Amino acid sequence: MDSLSNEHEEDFRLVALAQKGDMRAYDGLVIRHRGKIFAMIRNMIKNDADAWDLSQDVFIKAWQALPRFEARARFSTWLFRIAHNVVYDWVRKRKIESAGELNDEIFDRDRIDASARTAPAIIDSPDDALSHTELRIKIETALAKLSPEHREAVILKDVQGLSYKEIAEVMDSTLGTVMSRLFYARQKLQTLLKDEYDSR
Amino acid sequence: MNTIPDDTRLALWLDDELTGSELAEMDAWAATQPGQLQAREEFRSYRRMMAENIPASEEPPYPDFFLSRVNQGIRDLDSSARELAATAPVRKSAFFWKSWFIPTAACAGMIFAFEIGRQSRPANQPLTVVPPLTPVVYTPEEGVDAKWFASKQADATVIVLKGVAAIPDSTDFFETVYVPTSSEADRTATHEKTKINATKQ
Repeated sequence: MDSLSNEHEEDFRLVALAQKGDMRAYDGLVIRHRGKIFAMIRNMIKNDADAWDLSQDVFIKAWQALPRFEARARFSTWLFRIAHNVVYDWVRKRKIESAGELNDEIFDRDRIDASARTAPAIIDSPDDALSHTELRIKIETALAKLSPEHREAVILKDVQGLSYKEIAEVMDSTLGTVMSRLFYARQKLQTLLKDEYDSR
Repeated sequence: MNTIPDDTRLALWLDDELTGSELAEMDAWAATQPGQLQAREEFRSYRRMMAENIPASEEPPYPDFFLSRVNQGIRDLDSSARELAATAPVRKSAFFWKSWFIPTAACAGMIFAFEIGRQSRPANQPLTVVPPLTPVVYTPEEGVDAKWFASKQADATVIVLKGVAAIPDSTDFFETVYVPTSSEADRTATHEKTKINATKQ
């Protein structure tokens, strides 16, 4: 808990410096949070190259909005809110460009490359690594089958560890809506990952 | 706590979001609810499975380049903001002399700059406009140092890389190099021969 609050204090210190125009401090914030933002967007859109570009947009937009940031929320929650808007704007734009041909396919592409360079550097035994990779692909495939809102709720709650209240802030919705989305999303995930659940 | 909790509180308890007295109350209620205790364990197991398999943080590929792209984006934003500020309408000043002094000074400045430019540019040399570039040279390989040079006179840009591993002799560049066909080579030779003969005559 202490390390967590230390992290937040460090964030606020860097934010205060960056708000005065200190670019080095802002670089520090980017370095601290780019991994989370990239992972969140990548899990949302399932495309490494677009996630890479969109994550940069998040930090550029965050710089623009930084003077308005107040230390009421965690800096990471605030970034997730910007990431949410960036992803939804991008999806909306893609839908317009494709003249309605695509619906949720943008989110639903399950092109998951298990050997991608961005794979986490967790050192497992070969057997563990294989089963982890297999399970990860199964979970990612199941996540891709959820609606964008349900997927985002699951990612923010069960992957990023945000509270219900923080998710409501990020997704600009009520606590009740978040709870309902999570309930249905988890139910569907449970059905899709039935074998995994049963083996545990 | 004897009464059944509302859905919100139950959901928060199942997700381990309650603290303090609220948690104590719910724990006391759940002690007689084996079904709810089991449900909370299943939630915990599910969250553990997700956390173990889907990383919350993944360093983006080429993190240094990522950072330099963010910095470049911010610089672009700042410069466009400055341009906007420069083109924004200027508020009328209360000083009456500004109404004639500023246009006169601007005209004088323009004439002066034009004269300087006219005298400094040698005749017959085309005017070249070099955009103010501040390139970001990124080298993905560690230990490679890249330096960027631009020459207006030579109209050339050179990137010097230090620390790049030597290209082995076995590398075949045949397919990347233009090799004239035999007929093209012959035609050139004939053309050169004709030119030589014409010179001799």
